[in-house]
Amino acid sequence: MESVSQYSQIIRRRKQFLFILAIVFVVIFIIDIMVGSSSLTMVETVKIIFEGPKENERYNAIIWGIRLPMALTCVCVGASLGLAGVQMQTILNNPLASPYTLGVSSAAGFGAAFSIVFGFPYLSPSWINIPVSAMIFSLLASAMIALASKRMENNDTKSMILFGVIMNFFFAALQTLMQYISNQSQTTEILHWLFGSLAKANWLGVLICSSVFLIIFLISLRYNWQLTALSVGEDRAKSLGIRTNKLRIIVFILSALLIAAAVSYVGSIGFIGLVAPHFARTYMGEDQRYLAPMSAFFGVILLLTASILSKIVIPGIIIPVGIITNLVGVGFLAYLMLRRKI
Amino acid sequence: MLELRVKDVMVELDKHIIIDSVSARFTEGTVNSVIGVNGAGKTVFVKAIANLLPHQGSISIIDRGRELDRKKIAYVPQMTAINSELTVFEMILLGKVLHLTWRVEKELLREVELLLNRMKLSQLSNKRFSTLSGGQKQMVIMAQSIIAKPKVLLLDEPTSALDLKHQIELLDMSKEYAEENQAICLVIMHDLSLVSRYSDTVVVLHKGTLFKHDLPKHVMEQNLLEQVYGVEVEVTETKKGFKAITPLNVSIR
Repeated sequence: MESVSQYSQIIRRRKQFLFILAIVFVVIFIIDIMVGSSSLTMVETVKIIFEGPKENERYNAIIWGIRLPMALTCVCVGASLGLAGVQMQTILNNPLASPYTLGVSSAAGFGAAFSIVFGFPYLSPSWINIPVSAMIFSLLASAMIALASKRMENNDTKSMILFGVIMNFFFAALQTLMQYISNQSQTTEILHWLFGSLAKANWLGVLICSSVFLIIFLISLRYNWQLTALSVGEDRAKSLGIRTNKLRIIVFILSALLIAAAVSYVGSIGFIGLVAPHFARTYMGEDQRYLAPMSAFFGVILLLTASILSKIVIPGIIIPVGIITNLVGVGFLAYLMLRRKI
Repeated sequence: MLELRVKDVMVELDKHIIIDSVSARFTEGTVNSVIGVNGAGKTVFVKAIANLLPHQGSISIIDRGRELDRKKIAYVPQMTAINSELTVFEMILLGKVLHLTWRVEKELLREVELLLNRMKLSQLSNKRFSTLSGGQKQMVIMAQSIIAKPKVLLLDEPTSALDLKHQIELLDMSKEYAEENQAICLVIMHDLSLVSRYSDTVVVLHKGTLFKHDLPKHVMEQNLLEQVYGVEVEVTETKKGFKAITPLNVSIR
């Protein structure tokens, strides 16, 4: 039973690591809620969270009205981008696949800019138009990549990535056009959205994003072993009996929905979907049963850390979190390249 | 009686016909070699049987008059194609991917362990696949393929990265597997002496067509080999009655 016990030990270690990460997550989550211009201790913060929302209490209103939805948005968006990133990297067999490199984020950016300038899709209340438009265009970009890939032989993954790069340039050009024709206040609003900011976080956004994540995470569970096999290679997965084209399309749709729900509320938050899977892979290997939740966890922890940094770098000012994630992401990507990990 | 029937199989890639009207039958418990020069279409032929390439014609596995699912065919590719950060244990477990759930049954884990022991791979159990030598990788992929108990096992140049001892071990294992499981092994090989030693039948492919499908003693003939390979050869017989082929020079053609 030596091999079985060695394998069981690896699995036990992975579960322990997930547990430790869960504790780290809780601590960082509370710190993120605690940090801000109104200083609170950790005990006070936890107490207010457990008290529930109350009227006419200043700190309670700050936490339940502003900081908790912001922190929970970090959780949903980080988890969604982390999970979508690992799924995209697996189905495209490319460590550089992410919402950013495939142009889905640019499409969302264009959608937001289009809505800011023209009011599309003309819904009421008006604030809902920007996220809905961003979601529509990011799904549209994903659909275009998926349709193009169907025309390519055997869902050729390199062509799929290249097509994503084309999408990126296309939507970036349209987005610049929107900025060019917008007035000054619209330009400011577009720029603010493109920075990627948690400032407009609200409970409805949290509800939608968390529901999408939970549903897709649960659906993804049944594909975990197949995705693990796909990570070994296309031919190998096929000869193990997996219908790889079908698997790729299903998982691509799932990750496109995750990305759309995530970026439509907070704007362009880069690099989480790229970086989180690499961290997770280092600790979990390729077994997607553990890699996928671990990547989601790392996504959350990275975004919460970026959120904390965005509040403390310049006291009294919240820097858009997208700027922090980009700065951290660039450093990490350079590190990976220099270490020849990608 | 289990039978693999290949009838009028044609494979076209980039508007070129690579395999043209190949028909053959293989029966249970046999090891069958596929030989031919580079570019003769051996890998394409085997991949078509594995359903990894689009093809015309029919390929079926018939078991006592009943047609079996093509999922009963396992393909072991040439080694250069695969790399993974999974451990050896996980790689072999993946052979059962269509039956795996989130919680893996203990019975299945024991099955992997037994196979690891049998193939003398238990020391590698915890190692990452990417860190193994070419020969070790070949044995692991072989184990991954046979754990699902396929009825047809296709091996694409399995001995190319192996030393003499491991070549014999792998081919012995293929033969044992075919006999114990009433399965059919189809093996692409270049070493004609090994082909003669291990094959029940030999398929000779030449320019995409079936040149001959017969017993080794009828294939390992000087004239036939010289015609197919364009090389002068000497065919001798060993004490145990196997043919040994020695290439002499490239003077023919």
